[in-house]
Amino acid sequence: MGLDRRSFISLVAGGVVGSLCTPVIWKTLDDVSIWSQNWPWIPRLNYGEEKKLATLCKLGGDAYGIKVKTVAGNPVTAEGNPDHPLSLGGICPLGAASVQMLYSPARIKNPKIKDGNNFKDISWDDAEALLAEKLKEAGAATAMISGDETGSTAEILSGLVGKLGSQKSFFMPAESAPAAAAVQMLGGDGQVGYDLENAGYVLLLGADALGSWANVARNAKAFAASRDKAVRYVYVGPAQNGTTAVADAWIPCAAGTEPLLALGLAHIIASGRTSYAPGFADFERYVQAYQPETVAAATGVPAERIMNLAKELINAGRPLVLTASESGHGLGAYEAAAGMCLNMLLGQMNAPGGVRILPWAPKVVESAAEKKDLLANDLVAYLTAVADGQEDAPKVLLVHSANPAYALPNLNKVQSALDKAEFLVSFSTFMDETAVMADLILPDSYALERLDDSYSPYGAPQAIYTVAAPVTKPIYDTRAAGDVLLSVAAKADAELGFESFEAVISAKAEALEAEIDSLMEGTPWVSEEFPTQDLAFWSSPLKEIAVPAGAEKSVSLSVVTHLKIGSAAIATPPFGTNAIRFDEMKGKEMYVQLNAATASSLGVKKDDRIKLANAAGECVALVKIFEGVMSGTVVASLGFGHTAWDDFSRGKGDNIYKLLQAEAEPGTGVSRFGSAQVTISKA
Amino acid sequence: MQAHNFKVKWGMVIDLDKCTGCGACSVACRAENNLPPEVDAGNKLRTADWMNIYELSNGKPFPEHEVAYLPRPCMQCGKPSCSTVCPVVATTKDEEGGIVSQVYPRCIGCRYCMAACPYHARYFNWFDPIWPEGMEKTLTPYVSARPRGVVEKCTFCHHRFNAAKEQARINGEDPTALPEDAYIPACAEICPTGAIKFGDLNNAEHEVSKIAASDNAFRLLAKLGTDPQVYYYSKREWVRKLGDNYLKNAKGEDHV
Amino acid sequence: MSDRAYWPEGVERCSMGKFLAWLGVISIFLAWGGYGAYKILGTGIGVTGLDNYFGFGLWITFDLAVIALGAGAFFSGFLRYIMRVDDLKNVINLAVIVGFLCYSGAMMILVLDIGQPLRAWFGYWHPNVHSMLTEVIFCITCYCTVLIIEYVPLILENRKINENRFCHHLAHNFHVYMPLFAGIGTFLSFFHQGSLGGMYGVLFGRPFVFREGFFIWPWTFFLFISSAIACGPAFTMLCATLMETITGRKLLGYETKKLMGKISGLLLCFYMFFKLVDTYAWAKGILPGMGLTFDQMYNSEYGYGTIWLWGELLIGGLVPAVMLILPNVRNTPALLYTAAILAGVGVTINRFVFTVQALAIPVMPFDRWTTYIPNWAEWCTSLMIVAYGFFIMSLSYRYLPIFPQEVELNK
Repeated sequence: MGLDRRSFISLVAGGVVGSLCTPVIWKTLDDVSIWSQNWPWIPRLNYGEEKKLATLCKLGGDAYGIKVKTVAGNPVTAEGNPDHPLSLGGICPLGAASVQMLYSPARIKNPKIKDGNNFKDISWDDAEALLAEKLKEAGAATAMISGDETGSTAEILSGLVGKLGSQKSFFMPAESAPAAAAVQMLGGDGQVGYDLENAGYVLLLGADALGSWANVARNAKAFAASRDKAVRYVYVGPAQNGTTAVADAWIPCAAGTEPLLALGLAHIIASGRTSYAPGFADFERYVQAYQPETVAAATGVPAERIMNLAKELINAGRPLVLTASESGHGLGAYEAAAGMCLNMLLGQMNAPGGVRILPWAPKVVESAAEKKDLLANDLVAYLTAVADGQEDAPKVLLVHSANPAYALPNLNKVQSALDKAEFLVSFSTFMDETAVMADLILPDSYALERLDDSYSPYGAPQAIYTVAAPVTKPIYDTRAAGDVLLSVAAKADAELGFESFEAVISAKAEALEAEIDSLMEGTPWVSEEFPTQDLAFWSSPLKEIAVPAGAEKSVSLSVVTHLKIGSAAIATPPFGTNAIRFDEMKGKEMYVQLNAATASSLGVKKDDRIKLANAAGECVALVKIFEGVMSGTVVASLGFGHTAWDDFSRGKGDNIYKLLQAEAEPGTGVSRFGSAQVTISKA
Repeated sequence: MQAHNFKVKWGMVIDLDKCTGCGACSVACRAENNLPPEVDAGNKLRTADWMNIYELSNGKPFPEHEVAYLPRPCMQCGKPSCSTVCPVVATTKDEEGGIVSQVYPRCIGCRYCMAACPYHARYFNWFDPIWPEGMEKTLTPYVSARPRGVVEKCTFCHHRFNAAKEQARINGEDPTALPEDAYIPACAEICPTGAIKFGDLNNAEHEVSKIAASDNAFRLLAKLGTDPQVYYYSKREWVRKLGDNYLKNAKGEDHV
Repeated sequence: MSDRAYWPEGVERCSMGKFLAWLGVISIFLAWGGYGAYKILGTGIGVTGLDNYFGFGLWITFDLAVIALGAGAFFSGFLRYIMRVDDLKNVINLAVIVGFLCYSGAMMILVLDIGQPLRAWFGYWHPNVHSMLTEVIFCITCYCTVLIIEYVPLILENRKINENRFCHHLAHNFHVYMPLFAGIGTFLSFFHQGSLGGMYGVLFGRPFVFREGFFIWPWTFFLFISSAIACGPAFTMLCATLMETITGRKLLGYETKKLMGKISGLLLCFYMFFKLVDTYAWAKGILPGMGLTFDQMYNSEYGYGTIWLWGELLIGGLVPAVMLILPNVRNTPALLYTAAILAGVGVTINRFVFTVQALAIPVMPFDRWTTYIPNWAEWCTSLMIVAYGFFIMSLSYRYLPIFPQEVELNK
């Protein structure tokens, strides 16, 4: 039987009508919503058991406890750790974005050795053997830089360097060193902490306590609690920031002159008081030079306001003065001491609600430098001297948890010093600017992948020892730097007395008489013991703090740190880019802030592209008009202008470190680089 | 469409006198709700920031200038301008608790809801999301990844609401009467200064309902009649004034 | 080779080569637009200049403008078949084709514009009856179908096709029922022109477009209808004139053109009266009620100055309205065409400001003005639709007897 045209048409038409009556077509159509939601290239979710594991966040300047949520063993999100005294449930923007850093495109996945302008892969065995060989050859010509003041890895590093006969152990510059130096000038000995929780009045001299300074997470909790207790927070600095947005008052003060204001306040508070700690009479005479009018002229804070501020401090119960450089480093020792002596005058040294002097961390690696000495070693001065040829370049330079090629003043000289180092070894987890320069990269496992520890970061109000067990296994072929260093030390015939990093931590716990098991479970060890101190007013000879003199037609550069943009150690994390507001970055260019009066006197306006320049270097940025900036001041944020890392940070904005020039503080020789003078022109 | 009357009305109060604009809430939101990292976040008109932070200025020159920061989640309006206009019922306000939903597999991507929302709380997926290699392992199991072409927004971490109800059922408690801390969105949980409070606005016991009743509490663009379930709090009058538009009187001052 | 046998009876057309060359030029734009559409559908709407502030942009403006201008189709049909204005028979075919092109073109753009084109039919599957956009989806698709039904008999009128008995009878039957379709079309079109306006008028979060109204319809509902029916006839008349210019042949009697101009003029006067009242009431009532002022709605620094308002209301509104009701103006072709163009410009600006400026204005006091600039992907696809119109119209003109007067006028 053939199929004629008529029956063919009937068949087709009938078929169409018939299938419309079945659910096939309709169901398929409705399913569009499902498969147009689940294209193969859209990732699926992973389900599984959920856990919250305690760990440490050291991405900013602080080291505090956080909790990481894992799903089926995979870390997914981070949050504060309510059980850790430096978190109290709080977290910083870097901590919040820390989990995703595990998979940052900038991660170094295995050991690498320089091969011309590139790197080639090398096995761990070969890499360790090579490093051991180099260390043996270098001997005392070895140096080390660490950006982690609180962990035992730095101690191992310093121990290795010490064992080889070298004193060249350095920390990256931070607030802790000048603070410790200041306490020493007052006759104290110990790490510096602040009892913010019990303070009755908080004067922030340049310390962006809620944005980047010291224990940000815990500062925020203390601040929040203070709101119910009528505790005043007063911020003194050249520009408004996150802290001033909520502080009770902002006192505009020219960039870098906060220590002068402290001396001005000290003068007012000291006069009219009679007896005090030893040296008071000398001190009172010394601060005579800082009359309100003199200080007003230098700082831009009206004399009357200085008097009122002094009055507030005198009348407040348990006032606490926190002195810092707005950028988080570069404060001179005398400058820190100027602020510290205010606490002394107010009777707030080693007192509840005041400055606490904590015992130094116990040292377990015998050949390591004392923490006190490590803090006193001036990295910027050393590298500058190496660049200038005044000091021999190290044969081997070990860099751990630090990015000196990006985050130091005198950046040109620093880079040339790193270049001069015969064999530069980076233990970086990420391909940072320093790793790019390195001859050998031994990638440290990421924070969540390794065992780590921390003894009281700067600012912590009591001695706290925290141990963080790994949250997950290493994703790539990386190893914990501590273990690698111990192994290399053994191969270099420089045995440090420990088999593993875990053994170092155990020894430390033992020295503190802490329970290692509970430490490993994430419970920090906390001590409320404070060594007695014999304090006196400035036992060191007093030096005048000079008023920074600006060159003709220049403006003061106020350098600030925003953790969402990054820190000295970490570039903008993948989850940080969105938190940068439209008036902080446009396309790939960053903004700097000027008030309208300053802008008009410089002949620039909103969104203009400008060049900031001084003897150290120059940077390009766009103009944001922001009235929360003092006249004659430009505010710029650190954290931009990376040349390494990954697409989330590379080539975005400019690196303000290029404008920072360190100068030796008269008397102490400490490298000072908190602020700078720049000229501004249209770019 | 008549506004529903809910027994429970989840609401947020953000204390602007505690917000430092640090950005932790928006990072936490991103991670919790599986928003992809954005390599090029330079054009803020294209990025998706469910929790977006605005900088407020009192508009005065130095030194009278003051600054504040205002985090802006979805307002979960009592009378949403968005859900009524959606042609395909992809966004609704019909569940107990008063959270405005967003149904990704239903959304056709017409963006009418975005045109309707004066808070810019809605975001469009201009491209398919991309996670750097391996980073998709950090996706949470709570919110499916959205393909290109659909609109998304803050849901007060609705999955946490579901989880809290589930937990209440397991514990043999009433899932319609959750205690104050049983359900908290990621942003409120992570806020370092505790500026973000969360709870039931209809429950006089909950802190949010107490703060919302304060003279210092205000809502954004209340004059438009959107009836937001997000309140802000500030003791600073200029901050409160920035929550809405006010006509100037002859002297150039704000009309009350 | 000549295709003369397919031409309508008694008319002249250009040579096949010339015609193909003309289509070739048009095809360049089709190809460019096709490339843009490929990129958009293949990678996402991110390739356009749209963003989260401007979810609507050139495309929606273009859609609303062509739909308004294409209103000549339903309104001419309404006047011709329902109101029995017989003079319009000379232009009704053209009006139908222009309408068809405008609506089908708009729908093509919408396929690109929505993020999930595969879900485009959800408007029917999961309709939200409260949404003005649902009303738009319903009416626009239904009316496009009606336009197809109105266009089909025209195709069947082709000399060769008409030789087929079935087609001949089909065409005849279509013609018989045309008043019915004209009626349905009028109803549908009225509603969706209105709901397009209503779409904006209901946006109580957007002070620039929000309006009070009657029953469920904001005033913009009625304003959009009246502006569309005012401009539609003028635009259809302009289309005829443009075709005359391109082809060099007389296609439509000037009397009919004047009639179209007069219809437009009267309706424009009607529209402008209410539009001015509406604008005043908005500036004095709605805005202050929201704590805003008229001045806050405009910002020339970002490209949204009051120039648009005056351009719309004066140059594109009152001026053509007055011109078109003056017989002297209508009697002068140059002035008639100028007025018609101005009317089209006016309604386009209206649709533009409702679509784009409404979104540019910061509503939260701490928000900012932003500027939207459409990019190549939006332009090329929009131009593709224009080219599509030219393409179909060229074919229709060459092979279909659109203009009943053509033979006589060219004797």
